[in-house]
Amino acid sequence: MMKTPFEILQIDENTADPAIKKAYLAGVKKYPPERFPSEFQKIRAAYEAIKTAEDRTAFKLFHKELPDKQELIEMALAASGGPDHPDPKLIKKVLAENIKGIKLPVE
Amino acid sequence: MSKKKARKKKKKKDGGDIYKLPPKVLAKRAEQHTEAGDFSRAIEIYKHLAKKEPAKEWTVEIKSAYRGRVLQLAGKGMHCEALAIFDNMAAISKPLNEHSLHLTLLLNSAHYLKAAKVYGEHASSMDKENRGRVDTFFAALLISGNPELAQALPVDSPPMAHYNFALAALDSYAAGEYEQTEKSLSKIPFKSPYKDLRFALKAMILRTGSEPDKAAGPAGKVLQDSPFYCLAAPCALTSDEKIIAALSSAKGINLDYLAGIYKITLKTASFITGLDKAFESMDRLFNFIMSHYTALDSKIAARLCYHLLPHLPDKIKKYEKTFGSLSGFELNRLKALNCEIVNNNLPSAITFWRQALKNFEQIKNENNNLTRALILRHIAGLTEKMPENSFHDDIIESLEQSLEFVPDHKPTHLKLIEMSRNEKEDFQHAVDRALKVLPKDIDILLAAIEAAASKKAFKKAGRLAAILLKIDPINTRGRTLLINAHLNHGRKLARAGKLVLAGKEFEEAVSLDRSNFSAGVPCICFGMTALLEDDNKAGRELFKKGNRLAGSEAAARLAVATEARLMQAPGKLRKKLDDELKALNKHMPVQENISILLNQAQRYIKDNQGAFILPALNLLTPYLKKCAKLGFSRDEFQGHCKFFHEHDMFGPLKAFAASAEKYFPDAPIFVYYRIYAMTQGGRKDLSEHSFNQLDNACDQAEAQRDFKTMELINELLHRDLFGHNFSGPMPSPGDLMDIFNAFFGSFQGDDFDDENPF
Repeated sequence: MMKTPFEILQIDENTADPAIKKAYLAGVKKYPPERFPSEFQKIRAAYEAIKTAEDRTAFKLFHKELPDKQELIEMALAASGGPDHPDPKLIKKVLAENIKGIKLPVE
Repeated sequence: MSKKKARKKKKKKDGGDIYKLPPKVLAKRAEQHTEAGDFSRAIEIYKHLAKKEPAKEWTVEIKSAYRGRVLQLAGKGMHCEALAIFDNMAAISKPLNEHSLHLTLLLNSAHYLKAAKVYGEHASSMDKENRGRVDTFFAALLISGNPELAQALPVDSPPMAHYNFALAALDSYAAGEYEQTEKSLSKIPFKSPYKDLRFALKAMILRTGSEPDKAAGPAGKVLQDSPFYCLAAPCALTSDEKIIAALSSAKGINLDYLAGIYKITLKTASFITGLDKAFESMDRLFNFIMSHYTALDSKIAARLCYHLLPHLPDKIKKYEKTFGSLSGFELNRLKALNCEIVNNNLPSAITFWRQALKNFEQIKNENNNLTRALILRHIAGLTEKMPENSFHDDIIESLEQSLEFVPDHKPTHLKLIEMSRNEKEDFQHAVDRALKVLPKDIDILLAAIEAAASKKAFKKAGRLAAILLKIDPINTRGRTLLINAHLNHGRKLARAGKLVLAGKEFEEAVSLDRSNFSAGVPCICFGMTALLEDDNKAGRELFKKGNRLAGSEAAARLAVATEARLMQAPGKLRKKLDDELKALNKHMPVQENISILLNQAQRYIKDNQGAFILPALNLLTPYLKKCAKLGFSRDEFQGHCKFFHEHDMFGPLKAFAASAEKYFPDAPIFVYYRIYAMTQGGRKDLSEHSFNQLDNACDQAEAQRDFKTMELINELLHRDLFGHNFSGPMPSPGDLMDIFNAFFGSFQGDDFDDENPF
């Protein structure tokens, strides 16, 4: 697990038990298990990992999982702060560049 | 080989001077070349023929050969060469009427302005399908920024008709005005050559807007051969895996576009594409994150590196230099984790955890208490994992220390209770300590009842069981313990001669045992007190009731004889009841009764009353032997034999095992049970015949992968070899070696595969 359970549930590390439960339920509502099984599993695992003060402390103390490439990528994608959308000049250039490679069928 | 040489070679192959051949033959030859796809040779011959005989038919044929060559070159992707040949064809054959082919060749070889001219003059003569493709191509060229082309194309042509709407849509998309974009797109009709741009822009809006998951819908409508596919395709990628693959394979301007579509910086893009290599080793990954940490949120990068530190303690300094220094506690924690994960050096890990604990000594708040308790429990867990089994006290000490910080941690209490079960005083202490902080916990109450019962404090056990049943009225184990507490207390009172009080205890047990958990024993106990009080009639009545509840007369009589022993009934009464039990030996047993009887015995044994019931059960040996002759299933035979084996009841064991062998000759376990009974558990010498039988049974068990039986047989053989003299004839040295190999081969792993449990 690379994203911390706090990040998955989108809560602060000092959040209390009821607020964590609330965040978990909000997550379940957004990603119901029947439609988003993998997202739901992540949310469920995150909740189980930090459900109580003891769980949270244990997580901080003994958590030793290695970074997961997939989640690292997700984090990079989420943290990037890149442009809101491609520039029109860029779009035109991409189009121009790719048109060169397009050949109409010759009959 | 150079082209010149190749040509010369070809000429030779054609027979040198073929042009001396008659025209008809030459024409036939050219036709053959055309059919074979050798259009160049065909063109050459036709050109010669046309010069020699400028008849119209040669012009038609030469055009056909040229056309073939044009298509052949275009098929090979040589569009410029194809266009050159087309021009040659046009020079020879006028009017050509091949506008569609010409236009396509011009577009494919990037002669866009010439293409626009041809399009302007002849577009109307093109077929619908070709026209659509060419229109879309021009539309894409216009959008990609070709102002001269806009001048060259007819104003009323489809690419020009919706050009301004498409451009406006693109501009408003770039300005982030998605609603305006949608408005402009809505003015582009479905049949417009900008149709694909419309889908692409819709996908882009969704992708860079708030619904990236929905972008695949419109993006998927743009086909791969469309010039707008390059804009739409990246929007269709929803899984990170595909996005990474796309980022990894993209270069230059396309990578820039992907970064824009996925709203990431180029630094992030290069971070993502470099991750594959970075994951080759932890060291490389750490350095990669450190050198790319601006691609991530710096807090995230710090955390990622921090998570790697337990694996890379030599990077701690580098980490501290970049992200700031770590506390003494953190340093010890990281070192401890490193010892656990990388080196599996548990003693050092424990030392570092203890040092980390010291870091907390100065600060006192509730959170620190929890942290300290957790570390102490962790230390206990690590101590438990250490290979030497001599740290029992250390584990207990760490757990007890953890309770100083978090006194009501139930699993710790249960663990301590379990660990001290063998020491009555420690067990009681652990239970009392747990009960103090968790007085209403069912598991703790159950342990407390057991502790009280083991100290024969049945009154206390009964009181605790009553508390438990108040909290959880349907707790079966609690009810059984409460019933047993009353029974044991009653027996104790009966032994002390307090028969009235004992009767009350048994009466209470009867009323509690509504579900007959104790198979009629409370009734029998109650009846026994009546007998002891010389109330024979009441006693016998209660025995009858007990008999019904026990499910079999044998089980009831066994309980009666046992209770007479437990309550220390007078010798005369005991003898009478034993005789009544022994009278069963004359009866013909029923199959089900044996299970009920042995269950009754097990119930007493579980309640630590084995010393009282087993002598009574031994009185039934003839009855049990008769039972053995009845047919049972293999599992039943095995279960009964196991019971007799556990309690060294050799007579019934031999009878049951011998009977089972008849029914199940392929089950080596029964051979073992029979011989075990015959040798009285290895106390008597093993005959050579029995030895051979056991040896065969062991082989059979091995073939059946029945390792449990093999273990039992080896144990018996081992006991015989070292505990007694071998009574058979003295084996030869060779045989002796075989015997030793048979015994020890398995221990050395010579004869068995890896799954051998020994």
